[in-house]
Amino acid sequence: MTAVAGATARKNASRSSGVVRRWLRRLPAYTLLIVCSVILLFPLYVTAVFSLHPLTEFLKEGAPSLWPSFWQWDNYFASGEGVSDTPVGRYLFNSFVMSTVITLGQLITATLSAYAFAFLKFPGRNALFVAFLATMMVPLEVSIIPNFQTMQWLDAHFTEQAWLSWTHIRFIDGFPGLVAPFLATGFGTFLLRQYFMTIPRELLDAAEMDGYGHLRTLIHVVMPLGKGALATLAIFAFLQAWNQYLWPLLVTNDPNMRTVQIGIAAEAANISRINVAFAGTIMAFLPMLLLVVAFQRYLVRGLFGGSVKG
Amino acid sequence: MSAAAPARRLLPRPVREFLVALPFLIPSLFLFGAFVFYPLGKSVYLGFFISNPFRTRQIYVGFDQYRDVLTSSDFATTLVVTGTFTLYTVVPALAIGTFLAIIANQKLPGIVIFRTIFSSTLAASVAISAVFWLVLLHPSLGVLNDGFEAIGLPRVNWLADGGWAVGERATAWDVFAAWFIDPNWALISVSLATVWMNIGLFTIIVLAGLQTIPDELYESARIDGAGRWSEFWHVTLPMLSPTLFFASVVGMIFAFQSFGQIQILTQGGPADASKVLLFSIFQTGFEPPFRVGAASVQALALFVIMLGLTLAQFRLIGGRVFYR
Repeated sequence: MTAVAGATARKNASRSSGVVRRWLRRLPAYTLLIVCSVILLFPLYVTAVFSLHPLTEFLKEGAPSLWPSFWQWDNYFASGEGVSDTPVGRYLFNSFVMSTVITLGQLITATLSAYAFAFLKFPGRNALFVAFLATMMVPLEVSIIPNFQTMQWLDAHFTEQAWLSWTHIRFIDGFPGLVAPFLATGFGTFLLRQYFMTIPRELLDAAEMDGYGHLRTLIHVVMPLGKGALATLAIFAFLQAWNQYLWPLLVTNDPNMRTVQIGIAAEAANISRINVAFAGTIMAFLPMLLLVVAFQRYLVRGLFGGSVKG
Repeated sequence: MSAAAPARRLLPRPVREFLVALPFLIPSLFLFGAFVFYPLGKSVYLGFFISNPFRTRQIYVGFDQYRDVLTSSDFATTLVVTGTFTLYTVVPALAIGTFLAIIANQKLPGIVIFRTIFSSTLAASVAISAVFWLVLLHPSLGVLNDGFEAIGLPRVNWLADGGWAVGERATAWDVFAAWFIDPNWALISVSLATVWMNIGLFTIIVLAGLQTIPDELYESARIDGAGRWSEFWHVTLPMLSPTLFFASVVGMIFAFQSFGQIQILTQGGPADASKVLLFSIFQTGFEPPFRVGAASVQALALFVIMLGLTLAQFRLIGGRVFYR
């Protein structure tokens, strides 16, 4: 008995020393990984610490401390001076509304057009598809001037003409102007079409036999099967919309209509509230960080036009 | 059967099919027409005119404005700055992203955590990463200079030192020499924020590329007695080259679309040292004296550059998508 017990103990000991050795061998690899992570996250860390400093920390001589001396959570939550009460709260709200509308708009327009390109036969289909792809070669940045003029023109019409002005739709300093140029997407159409093409033809034929029209087939057959692709598009659309800078800067002047990106940039230039600006930066970053972390595999799939099964 | 059905039969089949597809395409077509295709034509048109600041009078100048803008020394400077910015952002981000992807591609417990950390900067916008770097580079709050001082390096006037890009230089050689001796810190600052932001995306792209390399290649390399380093040079890098090429094109497209980080950190200064093409378009068209025509010409130049880059990207993505 004792001999057996001794053998087992020896075996356990050698196994555990094997485990120790294995982890020792991995130590350099982990050290490198951790060092890289720390360096990469350093700017985020410093901003997070600065967002918890009281204002006095920024007004004294020299750089502020790299550890929160006084955890001033008020920068985020206090009434009167925290994010929720400065315009930053309003900026976050604006960004959320804008990004949600853009995401929904892209989902609707891209699903419709992708359905046509994937399942319908009609003259000029290929030429139109090329035209859709071509829109990806014209980023908004190259057409900001005419698009801004269009917004000015629409805004003037909607405010000056009696039969339109009752709608109170504004294209400058209003959500319609913030979202309008982004409601259609060549990339999204391409992405969804690629995915829709993998749906077995028989399913659509069966739906047709059951007397489904195109719209019903789209909603009850194609969309449930294409959920993954729709999620990919939704995440891309939301992330891009939330992170936009140039267009919201052009079409908003009213501080109440600023998006969070423009807002934090403006607040960061103002030393008298700079700690709240840093808190706002963290609050603008966190939702996107969660989105990216939670849905990374969808992002990878989207990056390669749907060709990689992430 | 509805009553309209027989009437529809009267139409030829292609027309009928087209009418069925049209409602699906109309929303996108209308939006693309209004915000993509019409603006391109409008830009060409605007380029033919110079106008007073209030756009109450326009004077037709034809192609003269195209010639004047595209041959101006301002435009040449902007192109040099944009090209340098592209170099400063694409090469380091690609090198760092590849390095991080390789070390995050090891088979270790908990490696997913590191993959997530390395790709997390993808979530940051230009404004957010500009603020993140403002806390490091700010003239009075910046912590990087304190770190520099602690290890015996001189303090750097990050956001306000334009280096070689400021002032007149006699010859191209002088500029080239100054490129190394007198760094354009303002442009480097803007590039740092951009590189940091792009690292996440590049890590993701390279990780996906690494996962397509078959393990057998490494096994046979090991049988041939290859060390880590020669494994990298002879297996990883050649197999990764299409991915790296794709990533660098994406990086170039991003570089040419950069605006926010420059507006926040340096406002294009000092003395245009960090004024990239898109920033110049913004300044020309949206700041007094609102030279809309001249800005449109620059925008068209940007369009031509972007067109070339996107076509390259399509070829690369096309190869991936249709390969299978």
